[in-house]
This record gives sequence, structure tokens and C-alpha cells, in this order.
Amino acid sequence: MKKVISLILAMIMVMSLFAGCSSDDQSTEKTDSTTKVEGSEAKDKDGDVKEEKRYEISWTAYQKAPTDPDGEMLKYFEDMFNVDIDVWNLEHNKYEEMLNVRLAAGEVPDLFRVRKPDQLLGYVNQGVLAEIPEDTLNQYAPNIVQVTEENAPGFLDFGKVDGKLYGIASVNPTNIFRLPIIYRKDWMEAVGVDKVPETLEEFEDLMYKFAKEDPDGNGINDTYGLSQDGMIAIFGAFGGVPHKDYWIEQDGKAVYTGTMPEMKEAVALLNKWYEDGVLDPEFITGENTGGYWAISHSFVNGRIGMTNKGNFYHWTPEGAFSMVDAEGNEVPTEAGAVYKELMLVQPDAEIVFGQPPVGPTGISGTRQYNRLMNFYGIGVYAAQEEGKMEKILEILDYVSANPDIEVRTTATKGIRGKHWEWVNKDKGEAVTLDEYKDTDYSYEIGANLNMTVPFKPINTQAEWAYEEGFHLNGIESVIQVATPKMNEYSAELKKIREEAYISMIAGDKPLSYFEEFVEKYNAAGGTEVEEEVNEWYTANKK
Amino acid sequence: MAGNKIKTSFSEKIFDSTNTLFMIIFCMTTLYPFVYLLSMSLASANVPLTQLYLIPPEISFESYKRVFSSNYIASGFLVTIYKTILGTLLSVLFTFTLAYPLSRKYFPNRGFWTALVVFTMFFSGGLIPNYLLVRNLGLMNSINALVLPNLVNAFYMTIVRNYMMSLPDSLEESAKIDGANDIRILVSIILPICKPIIATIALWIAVWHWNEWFQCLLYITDPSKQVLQVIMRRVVMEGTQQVMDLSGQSEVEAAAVTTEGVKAATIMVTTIPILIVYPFIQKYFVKGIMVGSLKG
Repeated sequence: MKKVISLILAMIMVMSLFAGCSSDDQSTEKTDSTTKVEGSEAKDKDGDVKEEKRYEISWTAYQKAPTDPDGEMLKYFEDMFNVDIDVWNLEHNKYEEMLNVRLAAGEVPDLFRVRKPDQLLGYVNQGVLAEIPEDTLNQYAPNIVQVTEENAPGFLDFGKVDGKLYGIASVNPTNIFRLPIIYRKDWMEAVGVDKVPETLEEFEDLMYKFAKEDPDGNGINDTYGLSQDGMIAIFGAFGGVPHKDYWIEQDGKAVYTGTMPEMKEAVALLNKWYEDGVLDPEFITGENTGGYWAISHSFVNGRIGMTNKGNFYHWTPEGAFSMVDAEGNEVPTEAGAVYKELMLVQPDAEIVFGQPPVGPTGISGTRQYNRLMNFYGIGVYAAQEEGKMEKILEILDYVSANPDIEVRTTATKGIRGKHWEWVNKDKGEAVTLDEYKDTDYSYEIGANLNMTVPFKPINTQAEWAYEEGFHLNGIESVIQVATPKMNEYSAELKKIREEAYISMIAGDKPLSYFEEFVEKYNAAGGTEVEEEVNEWYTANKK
Repeated sequence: MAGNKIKTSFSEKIFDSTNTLFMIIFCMTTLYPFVYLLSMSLASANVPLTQLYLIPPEISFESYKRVFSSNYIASGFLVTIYKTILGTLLSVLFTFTLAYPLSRKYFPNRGFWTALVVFTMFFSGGLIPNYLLVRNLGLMNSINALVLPNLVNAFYMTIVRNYMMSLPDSLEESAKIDGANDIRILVSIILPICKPIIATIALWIAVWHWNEWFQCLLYITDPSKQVLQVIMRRVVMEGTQQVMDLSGQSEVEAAAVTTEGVKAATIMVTTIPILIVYPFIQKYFVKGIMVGSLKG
């Protein structure tokens, strides 16, 4: 009897525990956002002079470090716009995971940063993003619209789903520069070549010499021409970037470059180089073996003589151009991150930049990173509050795209004279003062509410990049955002594609496998994706 | 241990030396990453990162200076130490006091209660319900959010319980005859015998608390209340391919301010304190189970 009673009691206790949990969940789900509204409305009802309502805005931004809730710049903008900004410190490298937990818990940020363009659709379907009427955007964020239309025409359309705008496209200004093509100049001299390759034949000739003629002069056959990243320029010489979701326009249609028949020729050439020991047999594992992403260890350690890795500013040789320092003196520029590493490992190495080699049909190119980086949307609850969306857009426009460069720099660097100082205002060049150098201070004080907009780069570094011709011959994808079918099939398609390319280049499968691969790819969803992409493309093409 | 008087045969010698050799190699492989990071953290900026050295050609403490001058390292250290000590003490207390009744044969419905605890080992609410629970209890941004949800680990509880069940009943009976009550028995008889097992789970819990960062990301948004591991992780992941792939922010990421040396120094600073704890608890592991209780 005693046992039975205590069992029943135990059951009741457990049941009540569960019941407590579940009832809790539902009641507090939506109270957060509604109570605030009621509170502020109550103020209006007092019949006082109708003051501007002080909004509470939750904000998600790009953050390398968390923002202090009492950060100096955060306060500065809160006072300027009469709002309370609650920056959600979502860990930058776990962003989606942290955001999704909160979304599932019924918390939606008012300024909603969609980190990857491919995710916009998912969030729209979840119903957490509000539609941004185009008139509202044009009226309250005119500068963002103007800058984007001017320097990246058509990019704002990427944020549309079924013709309605849900995300403001954030476009990268420096991705107008393609990946750099780098050769070892001292190796070229060692094998008796003084002309930087322009055509694919010249390129091939040089690569064979790099691999066969002992350019490092150590008497051991331990060098190769190129590796994984160098291959990008070879595919480019046939008009594609097959290892990423790159689409180019042909006859008014969007074509996926990974299944273009031209790619077969590129694979044939690479396979030949692989067999002849010109292509590094370790190309499959990549040129970077950990640490900073842009470093090509194969190149830095003198294993290969040509690479296509990183960005142009990683390869800036020391003193390539001069900069003005904080004291106003002309100083030679510091070396880029990868060049610096190369100099530490091989102080005698010299590099030279080239243009992508021209292929048999006269085309050339190499990958240019997608300029579309993220979307900035408005959370669904913010849109329910009168005037809140307008306020958010107004703030975002002010800190991101204000025509006055002083305002923009203040928004990203803090107070002039305290955190930074101009060295050349015409070119927008500012230096961080010593106390804050090499720190993440700007994120900590809240100078990171902005979104990146594509102002034309005009600083000295960009001038140098134009001079070196990094803006020429880039291949940019015409589709930079995923369609529903793309999202659905991309993992499977990627697997098929990578397996096919690697096995053909490494000779595990004959070249004739290419047609079979295309069939397989299309059957696995490639055709459906293509149809859908073209539907979108023809509808949205300017 | 072989004494001097016992002669070892040739085959035993071979076995022993092979054993020793294998162990040395094994230790080397576990030590290597540690030594590598140590030398990287001591290398000056003029030493290339892509080369390997046992002792860097140029030693500088610049990296360590940078680590200790960063804003949140000090607060992170304090929070982590506080959380580890508080969390370990409370966890051990609650695990121990829960395990004891569940290990007694005369406890009513013992099987049911044990099953209830063990149930949580296999089934949990998951991430989002946990988040909701912590948020609705008002624990966000407080140290309690990192300590309370992890008070009792069912697996550790089971281990302690099984250990207690293996104790002879006569221990408790003899104390009862002498007139001790349950609390007295627990504190004076059971607790001293359980020292080894308590030391074991205390170490596990402490190490877990020291290394745990995910819950901190979830529940703590105020940077001054974040634990050391979160700060370390942020530093170490900066500029890696993994983060690059995630963010697509090549523009901003380009300005990586953290060198590999600083990353290595950060790892050293966060790992060494918990390593220091090991030797002090070591002795409890090797102690016999029933030392000082029943003899004969």
C-alpha cells in the first residue's frame, strides 16, 4: 500500500513538472515585444505634447567581437536618433546557430542580418522577415539605394522573393577585383623565361619548366608548376569557374559553368599536366594547410611556382606604394599577409603578377568573389510597430551610406581625434591611433551598426590594384543567390561535381566520363535548377 | 613492481623494453602538439609560421603581452575560475547527496527514482527548450545559467551510486548500533570512504566546466561576463578557412589582427591552469578503494 501511494505521488510530481514547463513556454512567447508597445502607447495617452516615441531596436551586425551594451558609439547613435539599440552579441563564427535558437524561442531581431545570401529564402518562408515596401526603402534609405544602384546595378533585386523585397543587398566594394595571378619571378629567371605568360601555351611552357628544370636550384626534383588554386585560372581560360556555383550569361540565358562542354578541354589539359608531374599531385588537399586562410603553403614553401590564392591585398609587396602614417610622413606600405610570410620563409623569393592566361578561343579569366555578401532585413515584429521600420532604415542609411565620408568613418571607427585621425581625407584614408591599433575596439564600442555598401574604392591600395590590372578579366557569377531548388540539391550536386572533376584530373576515370558526369549531374537536379534559375534570371534581368 | 631480488627472464626484458619504448612514443605523440604550440607562442614575429621548430630561433614574450593586454582576458579568467569552483562544489554536493539515498536498498521505490534520473541520460529536451527554460527562469546573463542546468550529471550520479552500493552494509549497521543518525552516517562513514570516487568526478566536472563554452554563447551576451574559452575560441578561429567559408566577409576578414603566435599564446594561457590541477588530484585515483574501513 505504502509503495503504491508513494508511486502515485511520484507520478503526480513528475507530471506537474512537465506541465509547468509547457505552460511556461506558451505564456511568455510573445509578451516581450507586446509589453514594450503597450508601455510606450500608455505614454501617448497621457495627452502630453506628442513627443517622438523612443523605440527599442534590437540589432544584429557583423561582429568580430561582442559589443559592450554601454559602448561609446552605441550611446552616441542612441542619443542622435533617440532610440535604445540592443545589439545582440551573436558569436560571429556560430552566427546562424545562435540566431536560429532565438528565432525558435520567438525572438526576432528588428534589424535582421542574413549572413549568407542563400538563407534569405528560408527566413522569408519561416515568416520572420518583414516585406520592405520599395517606396519606404527609397524614402528612408536613399543613399544605400543610390550607391548600390550606381556601383552594383541590379543587385538590390537579389533581395526579392516573389517580387517583394525582403532583404537589402549588402555589396562588397573591393570584390570588383579578381583573384591575383602570382608567379615566382626568381624561378622564371632561373629557367630563362623573362616574359610573364599571356597565353595558355606560354603558361604551359613555363609550368613545365618550373616542374622539370629545377628552378630552385637544389638539385632535387621537388617542384611543381601549380596546384589547386592555380587551376582556377586554367578553367577560366575556357570560360568557367566549375568548382563553385558560378553562372555566366550565354545568348541571354544563365548557364552553369561546371557542366559546360568547354570544361572537358580544361580537364583534359589538367589531366595531362597531372600525368606529367606538372600539377602538384597533392592538389586535392589544397594549398593551405591550416592557419590564416589566404596563405598558400605550397607556394610559400617553394613547392609550386604559380598560385591564384587569396586576395590582391594579401600579396602587396612591401613598399609597392607609399602611404601616409599617423604623423603625416610618407611611408612605404606594409607587406600583405601572404607576401610577409613568403619573405620570412624565403627572403630571396620574388614575385610578379600576371593576367589570367588566354585560352585557345581567346577568352581568359579567373574567379572574382561574389560581390553580394549578405542581406539586411527587418524583423517581422518591427514592421508591426508604427514608424519603427522607417526609423531603422534611417539609422542604417546614416551609418552605412552617408555621402559625408567623415560620418561614415565615424560610424565604423569611432570618434575622430580619439580613436582615429585622417591622413588623407580625399581618399578616405584614416589611421587608427596607437592606443587602439591591432585591437577589435570598434566592435566593442559599438562602431559596427553599419552594413557594407559598394562605394567605389578610391584609396591608395585600390589605385595600386587598378594599376596592376586586378580589375580586369574577372569572372563574376550572374547568379549570386540561391533559388529554392538550388538549396534543395546543392549538397548532392556538389558531391557529384567534385568527385567527377578530381577523378578525371587524377586519371582515375577516363575523359569520356565527362558526358556521363553531365548526365548524372542533370538527373540529380541540375536540370531543374537550371530551369528555375533561368526563370528567375529572365524575370529579374535588367 | 619488480623488486631487485626477483630475476627477470630474457623474454620479460624484451617485453618490458618494448613496452617502455611504445609508451615513450605514445607520450611523445600526445606531447607534440603541446610543445609545438608552446614554441609557436614564444616565437617572435620574424619567425615564419609555416616552419616547425622545437625551440624557436628568436624567443620573445610579445605574444603573451598581447594576450594579457586584451580587454576581456582578465574578466574571462575570473568568471571561468568562479564558475569552475562554484559549479564543481555544487555539482559534487548534489550528485553525492542524490546518489546516497538511491544506493540504499531500503529506500522506497528506489528503482523508479533511479530510472527517472537515468532517463535524462538518453532523452533531453534539446537546445531550444533548454534556452526557453533558462530565459524564462530569468537566468540570462548570469553565472547561474552556466551552473544550475548542469548541477547533476546522470552518468556521474550513477557511477557514485554504484560505488556506494558496493560498500558493505555492515558499515552502516555498525554506526546505527552506535546511535548515529543518517546525516551522521553520511558525513562520518560514507564520505571518507567515497573520497576517491568524489575526487574522480570532481576532476571530471571541473575540467568540463573549465572547457565548456557553448552554453556561455547561448546564455551570456554581456562581454564582461563571458568565460575564457569563448574569448579564446574567438581569437583562435579568426581568419581561418572555416570562418571564411562561413562568413563570406573576405573584405573585413582581410584585416586579421591576430597572429598565429598570439593564438598559440592564448591557447597556452587558457589550458595551463587546468593542467596544473591534475597532479594534486592524481593521488586519489591510485588510492585503494577500501583503505581504512573494514579490515579482515
